Amino acid sequence: MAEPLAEERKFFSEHQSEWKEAHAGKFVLVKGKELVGTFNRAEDAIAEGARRFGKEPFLVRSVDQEKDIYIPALALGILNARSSQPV
Amino acid sequence: MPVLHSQFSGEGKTKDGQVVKVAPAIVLVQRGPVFQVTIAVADQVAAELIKQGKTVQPAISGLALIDTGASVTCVDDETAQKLQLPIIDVVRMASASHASHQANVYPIKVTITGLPIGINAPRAVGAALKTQGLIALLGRDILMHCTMHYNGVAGEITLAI
Repeated sequence: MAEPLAEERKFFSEHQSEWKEAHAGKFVLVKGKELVGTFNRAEDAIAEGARRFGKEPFLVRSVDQEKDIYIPALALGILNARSSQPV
Repeated sequence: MPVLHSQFSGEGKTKDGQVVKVAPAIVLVQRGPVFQVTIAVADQVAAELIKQGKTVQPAISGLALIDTGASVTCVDDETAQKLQLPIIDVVRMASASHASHQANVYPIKVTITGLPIGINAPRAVGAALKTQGLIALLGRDILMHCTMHYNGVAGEITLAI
């Protein structure tokens, strides 16, 4: 199965620099190789994406997005760690 | 401002099999600050789907753990698939034990049972939480709308939206 939004993410990477200059602080809505629109809030981009594409995947991302997501409890696998119950 | 006050309770067994009550403070230590919640399609997506005459899957109930260490809310991947949520991004999730992996991002709405207001989390990250008995980790994107008082001594959590 193809990776979700592979084409959209590649398109985003190719254009992020120019979008950061032209649409600083905004969220982009991308489908395929098309920039559908830019929005001040992620919620507005999502609403437009749902209006156009329904339940299909579509990319909504801040033009400034850079870093990985870090959720310590998941990254470290310590959701249910119990130091009082050694193995 | 709606307020939800919750004192944790539980039972345990002694070595001879006798059932005894466990102090709320200990239950809170062991279970963590969990709440019954429903996860639904985010409002802005549901509204558009309804306009188009498409089916919106009913909300799914389960337990969510409040995680002040998480910047964003996580939703159980299986729950997201049952809700037929659109994937709106794919992110890299950092991991200490292995190479970072990719995770889908979904627009969800979280309603804490007992509070009348739902909160949209437009960028909830998918994770395999079902094995932990959870359907969501409530991160700081949800908590930014709340006032929370964690009383570890009494084994109580108070949450206001």
